[in-house]
Amino acid sequence: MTDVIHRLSPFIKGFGKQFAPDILKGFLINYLKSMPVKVIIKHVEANVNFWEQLPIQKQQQFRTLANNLDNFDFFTSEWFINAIREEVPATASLFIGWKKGSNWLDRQVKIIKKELGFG
Amino acid sequence: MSVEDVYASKVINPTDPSVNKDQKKQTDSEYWDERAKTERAKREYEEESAMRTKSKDQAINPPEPPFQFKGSINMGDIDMQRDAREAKEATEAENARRDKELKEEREKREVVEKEKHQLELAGIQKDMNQKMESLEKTILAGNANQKSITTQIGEIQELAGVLGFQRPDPTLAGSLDVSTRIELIKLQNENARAEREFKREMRREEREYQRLMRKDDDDRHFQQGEADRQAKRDGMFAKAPEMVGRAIASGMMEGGGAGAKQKPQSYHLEAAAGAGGEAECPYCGSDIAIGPTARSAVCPNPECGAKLPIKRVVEETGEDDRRNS
Repeated sequence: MTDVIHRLSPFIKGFGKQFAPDILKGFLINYLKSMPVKVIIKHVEANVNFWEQLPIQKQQQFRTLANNLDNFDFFTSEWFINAIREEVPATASLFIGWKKGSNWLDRQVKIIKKELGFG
Repeated sequence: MSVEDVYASKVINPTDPSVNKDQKKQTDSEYWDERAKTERAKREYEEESAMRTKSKDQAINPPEPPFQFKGSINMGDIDMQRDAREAKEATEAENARRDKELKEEREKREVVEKEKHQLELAGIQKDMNQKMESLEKTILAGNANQKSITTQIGEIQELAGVLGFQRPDPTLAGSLDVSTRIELIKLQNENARAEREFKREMRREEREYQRLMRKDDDDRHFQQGEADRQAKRDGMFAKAPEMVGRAIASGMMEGGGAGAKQKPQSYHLEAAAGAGGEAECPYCGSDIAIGPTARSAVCPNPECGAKLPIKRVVEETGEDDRRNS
């Protein structure tokens, strides 16, 4: 996977600035589709740090992706919910209608941005 | 100084008789020697004379060599003026000959064209004569079956008299003379023709208007189709990064992600206290998840957006969630 990211780096540098939100959106949708709502609920209730749950290799891939971007301002809770609204509606509704889930999402967004150097 | 007597003869070589006397005493050998010497001198003289004569002859007529090449080249006379004059004369002669040929050619062509023109005229005249004859025949044939105009007018007047119509008196007021009626008829005809022309123009403009309308419709449909196709292409391009992101995420999952998918459980909005799970929107059927402490759920479908309250019930069976149907 790291190889794929590295191979895509020139492409991302050229086009990623414009399509960065879409790239991240596709990543999140595919990742959350494999994650049941109950798992997310447990994460929220236990206030799990999502970033720390990721393996080191995945974190590095995230960094590689983010290093090709100039800014990460588009990455907000609202953007996250809208991004997954169509493909993962259950998870999206969890963050919309559950206050605790929405707060947890806000924290995770801040943590991720900070870890990627955009905080 | 003594004076020489120039009138006295002077003896230059006095003869000494003793000398002659000695000569007489010359021996035979000496004689023959003298003769031989004389003969030798004579012979040498003759040879010398012969050689001189020969040399003179050779000087005048030298002897011919054994091989001799003879020949001559005559460059001729070069006269530039004469050459120029001759060239000019030749050119003038050539021009005259060409002019003569052109003139003859022109005369021949004129003759041919004249003959051709005469033939054409003859053909036209013949054609016209034939047409005239046919026309005359046609007129004669038509006149044979048709009454003359005066006869027809007479018959019409007679018929009008029988029907009770009378010719109006030209002197009466209100009656129209012939010229006025002709003018009136002309005006009526003009009016009718103008009306027909106007209707024809209206129909033509109507057809042009319909054609333009159809053309506009076609253009609009074409542009709409182009816009749709462009939007489709743009959509495909816009989906490309998303597809890339999905591919990246799929690779991450294959490398040890969160695990296999779990079959979502369906829960209604009536849930046990402190329980969370998934349900279906009763309006649009979208999946909805509810948190354990959530009081309401919002449908994620942007077209629906229904806000559904969650009713918590106390379950005695211990199940967290319960199907509501």
